[in-house]
Amino acid sequence: MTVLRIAAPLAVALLLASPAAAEGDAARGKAKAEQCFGCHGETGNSTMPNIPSLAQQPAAYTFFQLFLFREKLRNVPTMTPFVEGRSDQDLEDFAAYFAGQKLEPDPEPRDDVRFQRGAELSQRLRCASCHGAGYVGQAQMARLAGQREDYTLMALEQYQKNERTGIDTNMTAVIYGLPAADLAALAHYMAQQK
Amino acid sequence: MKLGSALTAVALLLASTALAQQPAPAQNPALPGPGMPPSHMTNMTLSPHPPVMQVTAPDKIPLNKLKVPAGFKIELWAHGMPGVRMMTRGDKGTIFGGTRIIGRVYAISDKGAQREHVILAQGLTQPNGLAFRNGALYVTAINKVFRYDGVEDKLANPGTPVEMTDAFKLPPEVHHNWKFTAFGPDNKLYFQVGAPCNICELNDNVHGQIRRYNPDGSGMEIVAKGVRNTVGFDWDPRSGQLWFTDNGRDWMSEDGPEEELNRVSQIGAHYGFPYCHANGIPDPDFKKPNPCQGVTLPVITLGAHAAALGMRFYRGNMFPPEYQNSILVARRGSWNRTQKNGYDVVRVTAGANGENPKVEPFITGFLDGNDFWGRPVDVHVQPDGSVLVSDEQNGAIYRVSYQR
Ligand code: HEC
Ligand code: HEC
Repeated sequence: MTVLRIAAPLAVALLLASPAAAEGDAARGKAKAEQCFGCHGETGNSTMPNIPSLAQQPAAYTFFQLFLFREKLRNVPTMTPFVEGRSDQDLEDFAAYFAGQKLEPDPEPRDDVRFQRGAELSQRLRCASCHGAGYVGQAQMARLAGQREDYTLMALEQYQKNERTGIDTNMTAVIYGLPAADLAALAHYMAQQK
Repeated sequence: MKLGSALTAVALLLASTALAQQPAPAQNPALPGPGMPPSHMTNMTLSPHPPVMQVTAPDKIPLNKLKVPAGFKIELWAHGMPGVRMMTRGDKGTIFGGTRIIGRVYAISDKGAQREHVILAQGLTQPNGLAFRNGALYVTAINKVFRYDGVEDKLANPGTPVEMTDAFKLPPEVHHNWKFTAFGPDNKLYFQVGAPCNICELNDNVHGQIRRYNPDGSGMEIVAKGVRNTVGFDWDPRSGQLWFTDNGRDWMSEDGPEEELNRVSQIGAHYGFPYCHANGIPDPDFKKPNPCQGVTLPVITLGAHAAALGMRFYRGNMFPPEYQNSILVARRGSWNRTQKNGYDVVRVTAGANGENPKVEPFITGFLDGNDFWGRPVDVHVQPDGSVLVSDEQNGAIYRVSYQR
């Protein structure tokens, strides 16, 4: 009924509009993910500042983020070359591979004051309602438990400055007006979770 | 890309992020001091529903589940446009479709037996707001404004639009700022600047408004204040007055505050956010004496958390005469509620001054028990009097017609 007509400069759109990809395949994902390991770690456990761990992320969350990178909506030049020209199926496969890896958190020592403040804020601002009990993530909402503290803080700052386009805008609303120290407390609290 | 150069790129990226740092906004008084008790509904496990970024095949759209009043017919009119939302029509009959997350603008041409579409623009941040005037398509994407001149003559290759962002000077906050955009009978360009939060105190001169501008971005006027999140408005053919939907806050209770249908009888009127909701419900977090004093209350409320979005007065000749000047409202459906609400199109009838308002179902069947399969976002009245309804979840547009 509907015919997709696309001019040459928009040819890439054809690829993006391909029908829903099948479920991701972790083994295929691993075979294609070698180029990711230098930054994100072979098991999706990052040891590099400001680079997120991907292990145990819900597959839907990782898929959506890779999709946003590819469409340059979450516009991160570092990530673009790794997703450019990839099919939805490739993205699903990456997502399946990292979802099946085990996260091995290696947090900074716990700071009781920041931890306590993070716990209070997280209760009040209902982080678990969306990110799931224990902050282990669900569907399009990331796992926060055990994520690198520096990365989580960077992510919160990006949302607050409207610099990160996400799958929705709820994060900018949740932390609207929160002072920098509170963002830091939240990142610390989440990094301490298992 | 070699790892070495990639890492340099990371370093560069991080350096530029640091440079771009701005002071954080002033602290929000709703936030807790240490030891403050939790707010309402903190033990709920509610969360937004994920969007769909991929094409839904037509045979996966269970059209036969949809119900319309006797004599009406609903059919699949166009599909294959993930995330399609707000609709506007060009002089030559093109239907333009805006989106949120997927960042695209679609252009749909009616070829009689079938529809064809192209992706007119992509990679934009939430190009939800579309308006058409003098051959040009206006696209509003949060704080950016673009104009595609003579667009219907070059849909397949529209070229670079005229960027008008600087003229409009819009705030950058993304939340509740995916625009609804339309030209009024006064030939001015109208859109909202919503509240950038669920609930917070605002500078009334910046956020929580409907504004109008000359088409070139000059002459800004505030049409309505205290508006949390409108994503749909239209002008009453009887009076020329603006009517708009507005969504109530989250996390207050399962049953409210309800969404609103409002009428602007006085330019600059205040609609209550954040102190006064729905039919005069004071906010439990942001309190002030007489919170509803001076607030224009809604003509009627439209359900708790139901997300009443696109609305149009019916001014066509196809539907039965009693439909003249009825308002069709697409309710995208709730997330902040355990029992789902909305996921339908309703018909509102009311007098030109808002008297005797009444809501009744128009299209139902997107909800199956407590599960949904479709999310209607906008309605559009075609010149032949049929009505198009966009379904963001399935990337589809349906056509409702009536057989005399
Ligand atoms: C050169 C280093 C580098 C390489 C190689 C790399 N990434 Fe990334 N990746 C990053 C950085 C940096 C970010 C964080 C970007 C930001 O938010 O600023 C990121 C973010 C991500 C995210 C978002 C995670 C989240 O929690 O939101 C995903 C998913 C991801 N990368 C997957 C991949 C995949 C899959 C590959 C391989 C195909 C890959 N990356 C290769 C540097 C890299
Ligand atoms: C209303 C639902 C909702 C609530 C409440 C919520 N989040 Fe989120 N969060 C999301 C969604 C949706 C995303 C993914 C957005 C995107 O695509 O960028 C997200 C993403 C994030 C990310 C980015 C993760 C990554 O790997 O890049 C962080 C960090 C985060 N949230 C922290 C929090 C914290 C801390 C709280 C509580 C203060 C919180 N969230 C409350 C919905 C929510």
